[in-house]
Amino acid sequence: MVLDSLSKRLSKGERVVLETDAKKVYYSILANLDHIGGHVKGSLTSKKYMRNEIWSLVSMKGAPWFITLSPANNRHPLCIFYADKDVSFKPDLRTSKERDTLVLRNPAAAARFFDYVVWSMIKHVLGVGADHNGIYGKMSAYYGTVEQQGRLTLHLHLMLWIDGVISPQEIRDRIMGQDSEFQKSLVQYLEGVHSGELSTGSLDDIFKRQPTKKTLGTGIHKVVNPASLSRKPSETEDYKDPTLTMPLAPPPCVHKTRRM
Amino acid sequence: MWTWRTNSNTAVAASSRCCEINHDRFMGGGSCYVRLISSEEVSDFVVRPLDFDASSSLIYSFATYTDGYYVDRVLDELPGSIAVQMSLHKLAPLLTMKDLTAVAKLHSTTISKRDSKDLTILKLSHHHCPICESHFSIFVPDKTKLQKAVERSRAAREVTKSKEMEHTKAAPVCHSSVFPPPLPSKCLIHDIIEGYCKDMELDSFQEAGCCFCGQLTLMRNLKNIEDAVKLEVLRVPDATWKEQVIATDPVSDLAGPITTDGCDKVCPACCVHLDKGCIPPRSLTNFFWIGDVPPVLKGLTFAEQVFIAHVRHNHCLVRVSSGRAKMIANWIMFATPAARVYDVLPPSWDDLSEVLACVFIGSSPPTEADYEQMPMLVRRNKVKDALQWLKLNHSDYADLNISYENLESYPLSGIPVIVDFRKSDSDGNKIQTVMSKFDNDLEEGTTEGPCPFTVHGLTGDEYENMSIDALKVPALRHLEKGGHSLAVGHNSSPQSLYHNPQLYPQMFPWLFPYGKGGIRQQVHASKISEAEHKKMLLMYYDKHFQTDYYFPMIAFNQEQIKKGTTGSFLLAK
Repeated sequence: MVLDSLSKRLSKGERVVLETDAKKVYYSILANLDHIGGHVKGSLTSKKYMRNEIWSLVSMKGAPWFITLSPANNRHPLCIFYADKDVSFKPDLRTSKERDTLVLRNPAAAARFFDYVVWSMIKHVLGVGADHNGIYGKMSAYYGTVEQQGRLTLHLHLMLWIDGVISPQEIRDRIMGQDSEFQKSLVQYLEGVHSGELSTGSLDDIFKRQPTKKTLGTGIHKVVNPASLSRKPSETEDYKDPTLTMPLAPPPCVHKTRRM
Repeated sequence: MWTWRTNSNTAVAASSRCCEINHDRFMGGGSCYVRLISSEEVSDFVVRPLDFDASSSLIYSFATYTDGYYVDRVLDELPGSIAVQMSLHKLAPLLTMKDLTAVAKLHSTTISKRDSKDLTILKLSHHHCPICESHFSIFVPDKTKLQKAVERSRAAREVTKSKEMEHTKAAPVCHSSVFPPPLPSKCLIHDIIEGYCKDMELDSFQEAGCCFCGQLTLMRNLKNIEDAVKLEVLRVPDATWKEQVIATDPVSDLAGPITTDGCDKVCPACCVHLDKGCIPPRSLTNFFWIGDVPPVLKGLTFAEQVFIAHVRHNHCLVRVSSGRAKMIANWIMFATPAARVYDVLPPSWDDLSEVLACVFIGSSPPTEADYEQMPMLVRRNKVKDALQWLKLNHSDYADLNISYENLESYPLSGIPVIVDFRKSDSDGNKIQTVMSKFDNDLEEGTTEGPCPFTVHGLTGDEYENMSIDALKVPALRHLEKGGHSLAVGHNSSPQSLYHNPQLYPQMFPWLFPYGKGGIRQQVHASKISEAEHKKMLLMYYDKHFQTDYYFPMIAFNQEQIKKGTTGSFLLAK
């Protein structure tokens, strides 16, 4: 009875006052359970502890940004390399089924790949421990938690705190207060960091460069795609899907010398 | 802390030519004993500076003993120092043992290391030679203990103060930066892309095994073996096992130093120890040796693994439709039923049907194709070969009897258990009423590859006294309630998670083919933690631990269970 009413009130987020002995007993049981589960990785209590840490960070650093990262481990050549038994890296493309079975059979490789990508993201994109700022500005703190999604691949939820951030209330006040300079720069900033772009041209350009499939449809009868006839055969055969290959470094930055 | 005393030896020894002065400052450590001398004690013998004021209450300490020729130079270098010419019998009581030895050496007086200080002073007091006339003692001004203590505490205060200053300075900088931050420049984006591409270069991830510890290491860090002689330390008896092909082969260790096959380079961690001529702590020699998995133990189906494993665990994983495995239960493991299966492997057809039962749930009876997808498929010869090999080579299978009669009773390839079919109304294999609130999948299972199944625990004792028909009753009663599809018998008491080094080799004979290299061995106590050892196994160079379906999950779950047990144990105490 007591437990029922307690759990109902707690799930509604109401305040519970421990006035009866029975409630105190239940709370001590909860505390004991926390004690047991606190060291177990992946337990509810360890999640609770992580939440507490995040709350502390929020109260210390202010409002966080929230980003999610989900590396595609069944497409990345690095993950395929970790999962495979070959010692030297081979840049060959494999069929999607081949890739899937390799990665599925080796969860350790998928985890290692995830770790590698996340750390390089934190280093380069967030600029932690690198000699340049992050893409969101100067970092002051970050807190990342790993979660598995439906198909049991890993993804990362990351809270990040930017240096010099002002409180949400202050932002609201300044937006409402007709501070046009602030409004403009805020919109510019948000648009700037929330954009998808390619360094080698617009999306349409990339699509034009991509060879069309020779055949259409997946059934028994394959129809020759008329668009593919207009291209030379060499164009279509040499093409490698860039999402399945290692990234190619861009040419050295010309601005660098000027900046120095 | 720095003193001249540490250098006085060299200064004295070199005094006939030049006085070496070393200004190195020493960090840390305690201070050495310094004999403090008041100005009255030496005032009668001071030769330089000429205007020495005997009445000043300065404190001095001995710095060096030098030739008259160098006195001026030394005095210049040591501000405030005084040169004193006193006979040895007066000087000796003012010196510490260390300085005494150095001075005595200069005067060619033999002093044994065992001589007491008094004896040394006595020996020196009766000594006289030309050096006594030409040499001077240099004393530098020193501070009293009290003064030193005051200085130390002042310095400490300043350090904390400056740290606080830095801290308070950093905080306002944080607030002064503009919000919102400036947009990422093209340069910054370029830097980010460049840095990431650099991380993705072959050099930064390509890895290979180290030939001593078998750990996957970045290729660029691996070194060639320079000196083959040093490998001789890597011979340790009983750490390995030479493969026996037939029973008459002699039992012996592998010849030569223990290394991994196919690797020819050393990782930096092993290299450091090998250069010193000692065994690297993580090398296979330190009872981490596992051995190569023979072909007969590769590619076993689930049922085949059940047949050959000494200890079996419950079915704690389930495949989801993407093909990945997820944990649905905590892990527990039992020895296979002692009476029937343990002594004689494989069990006879009848016995097996009693301990293994397979029940299909679905809207239609199973087809031939369904059987093929089942992990219950057993290939008779595969089991036979695996068991024969294990009996010869695995340390826990030595006393095993292989029943060829039983084996002969199996079909060449098929399902050696009774298959029951039970019609279910829903399409999925999960019963709506028992579905967990957090369980959002419609169906547990997969459409391709080995099909998942759940193990329901009934203990071996219960099985012993029941006929097959009697068994079906509790099984079906259970199915009515829950819908689990397979029951496998086992011993009534579970295996211990603690101090059980042969647990993993018995549970996964296909991973530890020689029964060696178990986790938590006596020799590894307080040298390597269990979690660390599991990490090492997962990073083993041929990756056969990584690719096992159960091992990574079970290893992790064991850590979870143990952590939880520790927590509750402490609470109960």
